[in-house]
Formats: sequence, structure tokens, C-alpha cells
Amino acid sequence: MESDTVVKVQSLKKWFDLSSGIVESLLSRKERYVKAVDGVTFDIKRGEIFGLVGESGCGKTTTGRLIMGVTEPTEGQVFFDGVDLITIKDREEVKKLALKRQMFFQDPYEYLSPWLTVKDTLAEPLRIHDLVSDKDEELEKVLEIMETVDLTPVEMLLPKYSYELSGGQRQRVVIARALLLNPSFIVADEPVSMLDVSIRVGILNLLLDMKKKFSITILFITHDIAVSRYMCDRIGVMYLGKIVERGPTETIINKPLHPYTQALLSAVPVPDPKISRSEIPIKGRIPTSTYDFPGCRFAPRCPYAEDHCARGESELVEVANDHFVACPRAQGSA
Amino acid sequence: MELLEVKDLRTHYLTPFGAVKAVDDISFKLKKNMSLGFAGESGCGKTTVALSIMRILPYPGKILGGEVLFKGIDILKMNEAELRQVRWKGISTVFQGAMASLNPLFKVGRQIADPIMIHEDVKKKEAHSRANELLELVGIDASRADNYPWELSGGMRQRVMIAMGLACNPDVIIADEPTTALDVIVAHQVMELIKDIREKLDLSMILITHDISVIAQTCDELAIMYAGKIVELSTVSTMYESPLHPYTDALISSFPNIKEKKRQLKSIAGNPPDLINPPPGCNFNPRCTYAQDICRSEEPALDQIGDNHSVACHFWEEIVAKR
Amino acid sequence: MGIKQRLNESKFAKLYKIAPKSAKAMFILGASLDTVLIIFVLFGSYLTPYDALAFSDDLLQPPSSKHLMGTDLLGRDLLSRLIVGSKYSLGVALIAVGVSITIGLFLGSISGFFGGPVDRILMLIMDSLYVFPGFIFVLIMAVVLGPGIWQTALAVSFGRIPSNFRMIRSITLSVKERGFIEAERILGASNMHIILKHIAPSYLSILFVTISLGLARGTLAISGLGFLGLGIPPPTPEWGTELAMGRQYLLSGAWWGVVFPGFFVLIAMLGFNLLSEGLDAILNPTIRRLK
Repeated sequence: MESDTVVKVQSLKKWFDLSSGIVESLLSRKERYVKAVDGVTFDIKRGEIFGLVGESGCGKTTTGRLIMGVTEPTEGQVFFDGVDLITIKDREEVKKLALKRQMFFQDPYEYLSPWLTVKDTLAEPLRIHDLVSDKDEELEKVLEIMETVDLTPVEMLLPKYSYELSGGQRQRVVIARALLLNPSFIVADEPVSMLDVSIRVGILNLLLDMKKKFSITILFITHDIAVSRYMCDRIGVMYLGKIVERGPTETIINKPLHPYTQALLSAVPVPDPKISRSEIPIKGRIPTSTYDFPGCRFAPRCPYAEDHCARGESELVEVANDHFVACPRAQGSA
Repeated sequence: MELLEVKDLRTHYLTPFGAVKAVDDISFKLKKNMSLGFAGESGCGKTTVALSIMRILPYPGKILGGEVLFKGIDILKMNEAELRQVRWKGISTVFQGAMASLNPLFKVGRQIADPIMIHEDVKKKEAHSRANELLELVGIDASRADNYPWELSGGMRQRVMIAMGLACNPDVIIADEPTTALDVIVAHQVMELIKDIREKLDLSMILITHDISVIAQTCDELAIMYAGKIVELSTVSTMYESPLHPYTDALISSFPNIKEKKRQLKSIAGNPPDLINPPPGCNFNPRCTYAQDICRSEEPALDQIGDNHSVACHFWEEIVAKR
Repeated sequence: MGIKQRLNESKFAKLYKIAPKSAKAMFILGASLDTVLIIFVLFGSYLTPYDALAFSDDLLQPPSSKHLMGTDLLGRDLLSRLIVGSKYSLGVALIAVGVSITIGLFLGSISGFFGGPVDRILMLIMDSLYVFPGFIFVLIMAVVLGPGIWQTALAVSFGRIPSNFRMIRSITLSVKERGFIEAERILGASNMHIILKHIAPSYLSILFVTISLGLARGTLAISGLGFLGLGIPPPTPEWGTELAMGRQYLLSGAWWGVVFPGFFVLIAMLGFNLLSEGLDAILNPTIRRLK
């Protein structure tokens, strides 16, 4: 594997067992699973922002968590800097990974400890990894990172608790906390979805700044394809646990090939009343991910579905430079 | 006479820490068959406007002044009996978070039929058959009237809420963030449905949301709210072609437009103000790049400057000229 | 610890301000009664009008200006005995509460956090103990352990261990799932760090209420044991044993031997129950909805 690939995900699967209790597992032989991630393959190159885009339940968050090692895959592998994560079991080694790989979350309130002030929240990663030798150095680093992420006025915010901060400020604390460890890779899971729209831009621009300043590789998870266009170099569109289209952002936005991607793009509201959206007729709603039938998982809702779509799943095939699509019709026409 | 006219509405929340000036002298008009969008950040007071109009403010909210004229009669002066004639039948609401608004113990058909039976003199059988019609109208098969809310998906529950809102054939429907909790594709379907129904039933609508893109695609007029006040009010197309208030401009620029070429988005500096102690003068002045001394001392009034365009800013002319 | 104290202080002050009058009243009344009792526990021996153990010639005297609560069979001043008795009825309850909370905290947090076989075994043990009504269990332990101060403290503590364990365990289980715990793990924090710094603070809010309720029940349990002739043996002036002694002479008209010990138990129960109710109402405000 080339050294400019930070993360490589290979046929990754995560199935959650739904069997409920003794009686059902004894009586019924069929096992039910929620196939949150069902065979995902992609890689993230050093220095890029790679986006995973999809609606709720498509498996993007679970994929992010698998890469972070918060949960273990059912099948498949995750390589980080060339090393298969499964092989890292030693507690000390796992701890060292924290210095390379960090995460932001959707709900900053939930992911900040309610018992710690801003100062202590930011000092904690330094203390856990023994990165500073005394209290003065600790305070210095904390102040420094607060300035970097524009968490000001510093003196006023240091003694505050998370419930005393605004949504935007909380998210900046989360970002600052992760950046303190100087990671080379960050998973950003819907970092702005719960923030007010006027605050979102500030955080997004901050992330772009940080990426440039510290040369960080980012996996950006979002349901908002317009945001992914603003942030990401390449994106992968996910549906029901699989990537259906993948490639450079501008290419996919301007020339979407998979019918699901086309439907997503046509459904995005545009802040301009003059532009009306072209309708892609798409039926029904996202089924629960106990996807059980053979064939393309999008077929039940696809306006172009044909007989063969219900028989076999389509794999991701490269149809143009780095542009992959999992749909025979799209592959044929491209 | 306008269908709904709000004049100088003032609603504060009287908390032990001080009075939160959630809605501070708001005025607007809603005509028949018109849709008006209320946009602004969370905490700007838009939901409070809806709650005030319907007079369903939670404690410790209190309406301190103003008039809400529905077909010429002030809602704020009505007693319970008169209010019952207005709620559901004249004005109805659809709130966000349908999961919390539907009673998990009753079937959805029953929940739609209930307001019909309460507000109109109809027998149970007829109410239920109307409920089934309404379900079909919102795109749900009538057979699902026997389902409980937890048997339906988020999008379907939202549609049930819309059906409930339409149950008594109101003149006005107030929709508060109807699509926020929904996925993009489902949200799109719900908004198309709302547009469709509005046309079919000749319905006026107030749409409250923080997402101005949704308003751009579905509303005729738009009111931008900031910290309890309306800062700009005009038709949607005018607002997008020439936004006058600095906040409006900043708000529009903070939304990525997928059809346009990619551009740098600008963020608005600072944080929304403390509504217990709002800044003196114009509420927006601490975050406004054009603020002058007068902005910090004198509050700008909402001036009508065009046929359908009002703005509350001391310097809108200069700002537009500079752009 | 400093931060946690600061958190509780400032938060408490804020909550106290907006608490309803009834809550404040309960809290203040309970706290006052308890303060008096605690003073008795700590300094009782110095506050008595007479030596609690000294005999006198005023046998079985009704309350008078000389002996405010009368005397017992052996001429001992009842008021003095009851004041000193606080040390035992209440003081021992304090020890018992300390023991039961410590054990509950330790076992509950480990069980809740790590789960697995340890959790299952502990739950099994605690659930079986939980079957016994509190006092019956204490009674059995008192019989098993025999009379004496430390034995009584231990016996009484057992009464509350299962419920403390359950409470701490359930709090641990719910906090464990919160996002910030996962964030800490991603940052590289160890399990010990997470339990001590991020889960333990959530115990604090119920700890105060648990302690005061435990004291109320513990005092009652000790007095109950004393009344039945178990627990702390005479001549130690424990409230329960005083009550038992006084009962023997009730029919001959010596009502003070029963009323006053009972009165002390009542004050203790009232004080701690009021304190815990008041604290609970202050720390957990419910939002009232007015029309």
C-alpha cells in the first residue's frame, strides 16, 4: 500500500444481531441482522477531505466508528497508516493511536463532560498522555489552542461549563480538544448538523483552516450533500450499507450517475427561488436495514429498475477517472 | 381585510432570571392563499410567534401587548369558547418532532378524527371517514388509519401531523420546522405535498424554519427574524435579488448553493444576543460589519421602502450602494 | 475534589434561589433539627445537666424543674441519658451509613461499568438479599453478629447495601452510555480515569439524599434493635433500650419513660426525612405548568 494512503477500508461489514431473547433464537432458525455496513471499500489519501454522504441509516456513522476503532467489524479490514487495526490489541498501543486519530461528533453537548470546565476539558488530553511537564505549560497550550479555534474571549470562557456555552462554542471546544493531540487523521461526524445555520459556516471554515494549517486528513460524514460539496475533495454516496457512487466531488455533483445520487441532488433545497428543481421520481421511503433480498438494494425505489436488478447486486465499477458507480445502467451509459 | 394581521405583538418569558424578550413588537400581514416564511436562527423568536398567535404559550410565557387580528377580530381578546372556534378551524399548527406530538396509545386514524369530532358537530363514523380521506390526501394509504404512531416512519408521522392540521379545513396553517427531523428525500416529498395541498385547498401558510432554502422553494413572502424582531420583510424573489439588511445578506451567503459554482461561504461573527439583556439600539449591532454609533443607541424601525419590502436598518441605502 | 465542590456550591446556590418555599422550609427545618442532633452526637457528654450514668435518690420522678424529662428507675436523669444516647442511636447510624454507602459505591460502580460475569454474580447476590424486608435482614444480622456497637453498626449497614448497590449501578449504567464517555475513550483515557473523573460526579446528586434518608432509617433500625433487646446493650443509654425500660413502668403511670425516648427518635426521623425531601426538591426542580 502506498504511503500516501492514510486509511484503507476493505470489504468492511458490520452486522448487528437482532435476535431478541432465548425464545426467539430457539424457535426460529433464521437469524435477523441489521446490516448497518454491508461491504464497503474505499481509501482516503493523505491530506484530502473524503466525504461519506447519505441519509440516516445508510451506515456512514457506523463506518466512521469502525475506522475509529470504537466498534469492531463483523467482517473486513480497516488499515490505518498501513497497519490492520485488528492487530493492535495492546492497551498502550491503542492509547498511542489516540495521538494519531481523533473524532468530532454531531452533538457537542453530549460529547463534552458536564463536570469539567473548558480549561479542564482541554487540559485533560494533555494530562492523559503526559504531554506537559507543569501547570504553566499546560495553561499555555490550552490558551494557544483556544486562540487557534477562535474560542474567545479566552478569560471569560475558561471557567465555563459546557451547559453555559452556545452550540458553536461547544463544538469549538470539541475541535480544540481533538486538535491538542496533534492527530494526522480526523473523523468528523456531522459536526455542524445540530448547529444553527449561521454558525455552521464558521465551523466549516475553521475545519478547512485547520486542515491546511496542520495537514490533517479528514473523513467528513454528513447527510447534507451541499455541505459535502463545500468541504470534500472526494465523496462516497452510501445507501443501506453500501457505497453506490464514489469519486471527485465536483464530478459527482455535476454528473451524478447513480439514480440514488440523482434523487438526492434533486431533493436538496436551493437557496434561490428562481431555480426550480428537476424531479427524479423516487418512490417510498428508506426500508429498515434488515436488507434480506438478493439484488440491488435500491431496486425497490429505483425509477429505472429492470428485471435483472432484482437478481444480482452490482459492484462498484470505475466508469471514468476515479469515478465509480454501482449500477449497470449507469455503467453502460457512461 | 387581511386574513391574518399581527400588530406590535410582544411576548416575553418571565423567568426567575429576568424577562426573556422573545418577541418584541412584531407586525406582519397574511393574505388569503399566501405563504409567508419566517426565517432566523434558533432562539430568534419565530416559534414563539406561532405559539402566541395560537395562544398556547408554555409557562412562563406571557403576551404583553399587540393585536392578532384573524378576519378582523383580535384573537388575544377572545375567551376560551371563541378561541375554540379559531383553533383547528381557523388556524391550525403542525409542529416539528411529530414523534413527540402524536399520542402513542391511540391509532392515528382516531387522532385525526378527534379534532373533527370536537370542533365540528359530526358523528364518529363521518369523522373517521373524513380522517381516511385526509390520509389519502397526504399520501398515506387509508388502511393505515389503524396503525399506531410507532408503526409508522418519521416521514409518515409528519404527514399524519399535516393531516391533523387540515382536519377542520382551516384557513391558515402554521408549520413550524415541518421537515427538520427528516431525511433530505423525505423532507422534499413532504414539502412538495404541502405545496400541492395548499393549491388544492386554497390554504394560506406560515412556514417557520431556520433553513431559508426551504422557504426559497415554497413561499411567496419571507420575514427574517433576529433576536425577537423582524429585520426584513419582502417577497422571496426580491429578498434574494437584493437583500437589504446586513443580516439577511449574511444569512443567504452562509448557505451553500449546489447549483451555483462553488464559492467561499462567509460566516457571521459573534453569537446570538442574550434576550434578557439585548444590546442597546439595533439588536444586530455587535455582529454587524457596518455598525455606526447610531446603531448602538437607536433602534431602527421596520420601514416600508417598496411595494412589498420593509427593512429595519439605519443604513440600508448606503450598504446596498456599496455592494 | 475542589472543582466538584465548586460545581456543587454554585449550582446549589442557583437552585436554592429558585426553589419553592415549601422545599426551602423543609430543608431549613430538617437541617436545623439535624444540626442540633449532630451537636448532641459530638458534644453530648458536655451538654448534659447531669451525668448520664449517675444514680440518684430521685427514683422514677416525673418531669420537674430539677429533671426536665424526669428520672428513670435508678434515679438517672432521663434528659441527660437521651442526649448522650444520641451518640449511640445516631452516631452508630452514621457509621452504618458510611459503611453501606462505601460498599454500595464500590460494588455498584464496578458492576455497572464492567458488566459481564462480575455484574451477574453481584446482581444475583444483591437480588437475593433484597428479598428480605430491610429490618428483618438487619435483625437477622444483629442476632448473628451479637450485641455491641460495631456489630450493630455492621448489621444496620447491611440493611441498605443492596439498595445502594442497585442505585449506584443503575446510575453507572446510564452514564456509561453517554457520548462524553466514548469521547474520553477515544482520547485515550483509562477505565479508572473514566470512572473516577466522569462517572463518579453523577453520584453526587443522589448522595446527599441517600445519606440523610439512610440516617433516618438507620436511627430507627438501631432504636428498634435496642427496643427488642438486641443491638447496643445496656447500660449504654441508647434510645431504643431506654424506651424498652420505660415501657415496663408505663402501666404504673411513668409515661415520661416512653414518651421522651420516642420523642427523640421522632425528632431524628423527622429531621432527616425533611432534610432529604427538601434537598431532593431543591436539587431536582420540576417545571410547574401554570395555565
